[in-house]
Amino acid sequence: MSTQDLEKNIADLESSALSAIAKADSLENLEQVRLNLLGQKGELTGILRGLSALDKSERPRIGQLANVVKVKIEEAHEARKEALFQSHIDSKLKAEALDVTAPGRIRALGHVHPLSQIREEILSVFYSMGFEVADGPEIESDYYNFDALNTPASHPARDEQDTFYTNLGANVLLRSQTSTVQIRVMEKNPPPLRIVAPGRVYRNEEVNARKYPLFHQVEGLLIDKAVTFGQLKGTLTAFIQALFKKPLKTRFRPDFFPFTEPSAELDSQCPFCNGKGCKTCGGRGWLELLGCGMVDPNVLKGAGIDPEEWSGFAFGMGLERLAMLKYGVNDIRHFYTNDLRFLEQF
Amino acid sequence: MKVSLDWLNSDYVDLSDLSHEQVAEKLTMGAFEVEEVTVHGSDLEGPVVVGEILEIHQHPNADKIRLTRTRVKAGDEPLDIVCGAQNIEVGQIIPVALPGAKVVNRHDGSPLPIKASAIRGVKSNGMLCSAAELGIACDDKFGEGILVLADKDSPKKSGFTLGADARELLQIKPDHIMHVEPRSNRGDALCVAGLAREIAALFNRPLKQPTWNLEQYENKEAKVGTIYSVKLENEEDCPFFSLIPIKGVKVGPSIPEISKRLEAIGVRPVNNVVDITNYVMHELGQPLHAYDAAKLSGSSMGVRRARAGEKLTTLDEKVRELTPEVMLIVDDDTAIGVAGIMGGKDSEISDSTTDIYLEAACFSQAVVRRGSRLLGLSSDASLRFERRVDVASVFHAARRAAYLIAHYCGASGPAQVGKAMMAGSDKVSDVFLTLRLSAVKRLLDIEVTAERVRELLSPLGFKVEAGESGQLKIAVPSFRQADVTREIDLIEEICRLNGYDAIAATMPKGIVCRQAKDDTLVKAQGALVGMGLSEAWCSSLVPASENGINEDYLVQVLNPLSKDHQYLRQSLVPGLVHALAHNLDRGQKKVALFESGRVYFKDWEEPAPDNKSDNRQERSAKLFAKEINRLAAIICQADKQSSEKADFYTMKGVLENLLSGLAISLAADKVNWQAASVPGLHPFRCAALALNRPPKKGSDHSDKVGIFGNPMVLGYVGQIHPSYAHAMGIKEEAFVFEIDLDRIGAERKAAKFSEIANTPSMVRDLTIDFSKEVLEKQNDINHQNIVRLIMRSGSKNLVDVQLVSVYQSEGAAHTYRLTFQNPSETLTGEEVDNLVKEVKSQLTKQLNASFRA
Ligand SMILES: [Zn+2]
Repeated sequence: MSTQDLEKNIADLESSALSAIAKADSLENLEQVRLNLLGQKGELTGILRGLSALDKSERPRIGQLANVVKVKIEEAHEARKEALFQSHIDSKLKAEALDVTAPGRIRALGHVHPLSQIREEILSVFYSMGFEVADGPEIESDYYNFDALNTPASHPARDEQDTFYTNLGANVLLRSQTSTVQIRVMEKNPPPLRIVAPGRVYRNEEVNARKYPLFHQVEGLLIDKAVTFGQLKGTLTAFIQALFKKPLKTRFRPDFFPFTEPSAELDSQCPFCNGKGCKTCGGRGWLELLGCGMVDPNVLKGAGIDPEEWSGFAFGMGLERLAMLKYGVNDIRHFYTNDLRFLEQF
Repeated sequence: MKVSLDWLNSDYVDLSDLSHEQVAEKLTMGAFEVEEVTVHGSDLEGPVVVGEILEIHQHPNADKIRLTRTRVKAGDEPLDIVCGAQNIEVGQIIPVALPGAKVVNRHDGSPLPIKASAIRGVKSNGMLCSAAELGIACDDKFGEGILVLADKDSPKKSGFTLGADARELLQIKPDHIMHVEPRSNRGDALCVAGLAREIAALFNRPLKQPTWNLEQYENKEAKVGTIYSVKLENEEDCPFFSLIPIKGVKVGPSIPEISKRLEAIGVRPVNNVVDITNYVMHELGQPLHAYDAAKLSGSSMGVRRARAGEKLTTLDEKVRELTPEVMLIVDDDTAIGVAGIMGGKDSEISDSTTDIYLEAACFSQAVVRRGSRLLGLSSDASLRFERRVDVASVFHAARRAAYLIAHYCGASGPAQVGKAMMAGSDKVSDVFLTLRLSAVKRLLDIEVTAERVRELLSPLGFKVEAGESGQLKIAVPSFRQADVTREIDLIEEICRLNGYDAIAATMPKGIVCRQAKDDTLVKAQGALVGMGLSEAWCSSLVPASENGINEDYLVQVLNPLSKDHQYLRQSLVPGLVHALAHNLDRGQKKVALFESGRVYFKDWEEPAPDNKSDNRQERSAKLFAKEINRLAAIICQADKQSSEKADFYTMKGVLENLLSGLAISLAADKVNWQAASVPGLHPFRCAALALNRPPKKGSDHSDKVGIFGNPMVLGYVGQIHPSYAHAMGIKEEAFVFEIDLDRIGAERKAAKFSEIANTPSMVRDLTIDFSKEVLEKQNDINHQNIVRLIMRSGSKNLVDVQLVSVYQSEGAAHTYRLTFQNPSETLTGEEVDNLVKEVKSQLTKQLNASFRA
């Protein structure tokens, strides 16, 4: 083949190859075009192989010419391949389109009981103030439930009709208050003390929307040197504000409990209306939340703590009452019926 | 207790410039919570004016009705007003309700609007009013006829201006009734005078006293009935008893002032004598009782305990069966009343009574309370005795009542009050307390001076005297000697009267926390909720019929509310089964619940200890029963189409997951699963999880309390027995587990890092065949034993064995995936092959397994 023919072939090949590459409409076609040109038996490969038959003087020039064409074809091929790949991906992605508003595939979570939730919230707040969690038996003696709490045998609270007595002995009952734990803790541990004690208590009361023969309390006790009534006010106000996550005002109303003196009922500014008055607080703007007071010297003495050296305060609150207020539950029996339609709301 | 603001204000403490809200607020913040304030006597509306009757004519069409011409404004033409009352006369000044007014219907107390209307054909332009119609008294018998303000010739007549507002003149204005419940230790404030003392102190105002003088009616010679002495069985039951004879009363309705006050606080007027005993009880807090002297025949009245079987008909006309726990008033020996609670029917005051005995006494709080509970009978009197009456004030109240009876109930002129008979003593010795001002400062963190203490406490009857430096000597009044006995009680009074608000809120100093919060329960809740279970709280008081109750160790309530709340539970499972049934009944398809809580057993190690031990350490260490913390769960899938299955292995998986989450090792060298038998569960679908070795502490072993009697058992998992499910109305298969949280808590291990091996691991699948014959002969072929044998014979380089599948036809084929790895060097294929060979040979030797070629 003459040099001129060869040059023409190369030029023809360039234009036909570029047009074939441009026409390839799929990655498969493009690959076939590439093989036809650049494969082992490809046209350009054949031409390059034929160079050896040329005159030595012509070889570098034609060779360079062929190489330039080869690079051009390769570049065109790469560009075309890239474009085809992109459009392939695009159409594949399009085919994979989802209804993103359709629901997620879940395994339903369960729900923690509202009384557990409120108990945990209360304990966490007090834990952050340095109170330890303490525990005591529900089956108690009248000593811990009454005598040690400065409640003499003649006190109306000791009427048999209010307390459940057991077959374990004339003096063994189901505790009617978690205050029992105060005494057991004080007897076992030297002051200073800071404890909170959650637990179940029992009272012999007819079942209705507000009352159930068992319910739950959280009791607290702080004993230290120079504990004052002002510290009681400060601690419980901080607690209320942390529990409701609002800077609520509190009001301490004088009351009477046998085991604290002075005693108080703590009213919180209603967190639902910020004190303006609403259904929850009966329009009063205040909610009665817990009972508290300075530990009576008789109680300290009975537990072996010198009331001239130490002083302290105690408080107690009902979980059901707080949960009913917080969640707007109108019937205490919901807490023990365990209807999923109730539990799943929390 | 209901207290009339009007009564307080007019007799005891001037509150006229204060609103009822202000008084209620002050009382509430002063330890006397006002639960409610109601309005009494506000029924009167519109024009009610002063008028004068100018003429009276017979009604042309009716006998009993007359026609008046009444002037209601000077200079105006008189109005025609029809009137049915018989007591009207020309020239009288009377109250007139004009059209547009609303008065009280004297028959039923309902509002009665006044209109100009025709009565039997004669026009009437208003109404002449009786006391009842003005709401002064509720019943017409107290205000028979028109209320005459002034008679024709009365010199008072000139003081009236025709047309003036009659309400203002008669001071008919609404009264506010406060509902106050004094605390149980404040019996002294359970009356108008006592509460007035508190109000006077809280507002720092003077306390007034009504004035009266009994001497003028006393006649030591006045003879009444047969009784001439009083006597007491013992002075513990009744420290003081007094009886005042009163001669010459006429029983009838009370004066409006008294009946109005009683009605305002919800006490029904009975007759003038009984009303006065009630009146003085509400005024001074001292219960009183009046006997018809003619109905008694003994020579002495006394107090004694009842004899067993004795009977008495009380004022409420019920026959009371008495016991020696009840105290009686006796006429010689005949019971005439239950002391401190209720009088007897036979000696009550009637319309024909002329001479009476007025009893006032102080009875034991405890005896009255016990008697009241025993008889199921409580009264305003028993309520007050239970809260304590002040023995030193008894006779004062008796004299007050005697004065009122003599003054208002005399038959002709005042009645005569005879010589009082008394037994016991009403003397109270002085009680002095020492108050250190430093103690006030120490507890309340407020500075008070001796002068301030005197200012605060004197109005309540305390006498404050200066003592040593910084100390005050304080005399406690008799009526506070029960609740103020120590320095701290005085500090409380100072705190209360000075105001709780006056103490600034501060924070305690220092931090005390010895122990981190136990997170076992919170972790468990998190894990179970994550697996789709919701938390239940069930009752720990259960019926006797509850499944799985062990009678020997049962804690029983002796005075249960009902049969459903008679025993303390011994397992959490029955409560969850109830909850499951409840939810299935209400159409739930999938129910998954758990509960953590206590179960209760009578102590099987030692008898209940005597709690009167004086050693505090010993006493507080002793418990009366075993209270064990458990956690249980139940799942049930009623929807057969659902992809979320619930079977035995689902439940076992939940339990294993939970335990892993609590860092309990389930490795074969720590724990094992055993087929188990638990009452209420499927006999072939129940397994117990137990420790391989006994725990370090806890030897509380008793087979009688069931599966947990073995201290190594951590819990069990199983299916509810179909017959138990059936009895509960549950048609589906339900699965439960129950674990001992105390034991679990003790086994929890802190996480510990072990080096991660970098050498490659090699995996071999091994299918083990057991022929039908082998399976029949050997009952120890189960997953747990196969895995244990593989692990034992696979050397320490066998690091994991997983069950891939079990195929059962004639025999059984178990496929396991074995993972080998040596952390320090790479194992060769040959080494692994040899290990597998050893595993196979042990399986063949010990379990008669065979292997395919
Ligand atoms: Zn509110």
